[in-house]
Amino acid sequence: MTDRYARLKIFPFADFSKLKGKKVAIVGVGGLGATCAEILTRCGIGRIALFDFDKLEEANLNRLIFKTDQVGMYKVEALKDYLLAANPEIEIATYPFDVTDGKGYDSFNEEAGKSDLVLGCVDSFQVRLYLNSVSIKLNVPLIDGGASLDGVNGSVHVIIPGKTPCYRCNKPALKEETKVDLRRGDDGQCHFTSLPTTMGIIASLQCQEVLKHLLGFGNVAPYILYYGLEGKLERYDWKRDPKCPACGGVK
Amino acid sequence: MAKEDDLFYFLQCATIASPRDREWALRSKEEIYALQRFTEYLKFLEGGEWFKLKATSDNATRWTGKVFEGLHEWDMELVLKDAYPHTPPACRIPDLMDFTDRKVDDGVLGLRICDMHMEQNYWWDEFCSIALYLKREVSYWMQSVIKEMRRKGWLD
Repeated sequence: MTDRYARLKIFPFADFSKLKGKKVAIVGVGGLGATCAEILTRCGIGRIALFDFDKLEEANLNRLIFKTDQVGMYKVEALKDYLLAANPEIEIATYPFDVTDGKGYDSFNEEAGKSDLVLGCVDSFQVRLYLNSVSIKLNVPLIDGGASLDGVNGSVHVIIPGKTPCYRCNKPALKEETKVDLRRGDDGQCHFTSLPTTMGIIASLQCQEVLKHLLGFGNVAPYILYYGLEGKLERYDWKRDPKCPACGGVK
Repeated sequence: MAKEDDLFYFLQCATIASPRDREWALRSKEEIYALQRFTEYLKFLEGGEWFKLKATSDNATRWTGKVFEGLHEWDMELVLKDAYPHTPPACRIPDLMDFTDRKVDDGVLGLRICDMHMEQNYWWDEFCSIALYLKREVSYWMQSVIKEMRRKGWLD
């Protein structure tokens, strides 16, 4: 029998065996979160805490990981089965709760406090704001991923409190960068398209930054934009805003 | 914050505290004070209120009330979660939810009005109050949903 980590052991830039001692919390296990969880599981991370209050619907099946016969299950439970089948050596904790309230609030604060890193894979601005504040309060790095409304573009934002810009620091730069009228028209909706390809790319970019940060190799990119139609990746090295209402006081 | 809303600084709170914090009682009073000022503003300067809202839990984290549009009125529920004000309130207008796609899943309310408008205008911070949320988010959401319903002939 060969070692499941044989190909990782010959990776020249870092020692993957260190990953066994690392813990991450993943908030949101849809298209992005489930793929991130799979990548980190196969790389041999020590512990993953999964947070998502949603149950699996048929509309989620166009993305990766989940199976048709799992429809109706909590996403975190369905994902746990899959991950343990992929790598039984890792520890998985599941929390089918909303991280902004009640049991989810308590358990997320506890898990985030003992995690080396939090992965934000949510589709809600409200929750992103909260993850940002927890990351700064507990001094835990947050790697947030997201896809655009049209499904072809995406971004990865690495928030290392005191080092890289937080979710709030980026506001002026984002506005200038997009150069379009962002105010939504009156025919809008809130269920957007979701391509498994874009999700796979953004989740992979997120995990690349996770591995770089946790294992200490390469140069962590504070912000990466992916443009699917052009097939282009751009890295932005933004400065922190010293007057940022969220992280301005962090040294 | 957008220029036209600069005058509404009086709807902000001064204390940053979550429902489980010791200072919540103070924040809660500030929320109620801001709502009263907003109601006065609507009554005396905009010719009438378009909502009524009152706290239905002891710690003022659950609110219920009505929203009005012409002769129509609908129930409204609003929840301040444990993460508030680091996260905005969650709001639901049950009778309108079936008529729009502008809704998202919520861990407490089941469905709530979406925050896409808030995200794209990027205005929420910890000093913002329920009153400011009503002014800048719920009113926008209602107007756009009602406009769409009228266009489709679902509302007089």
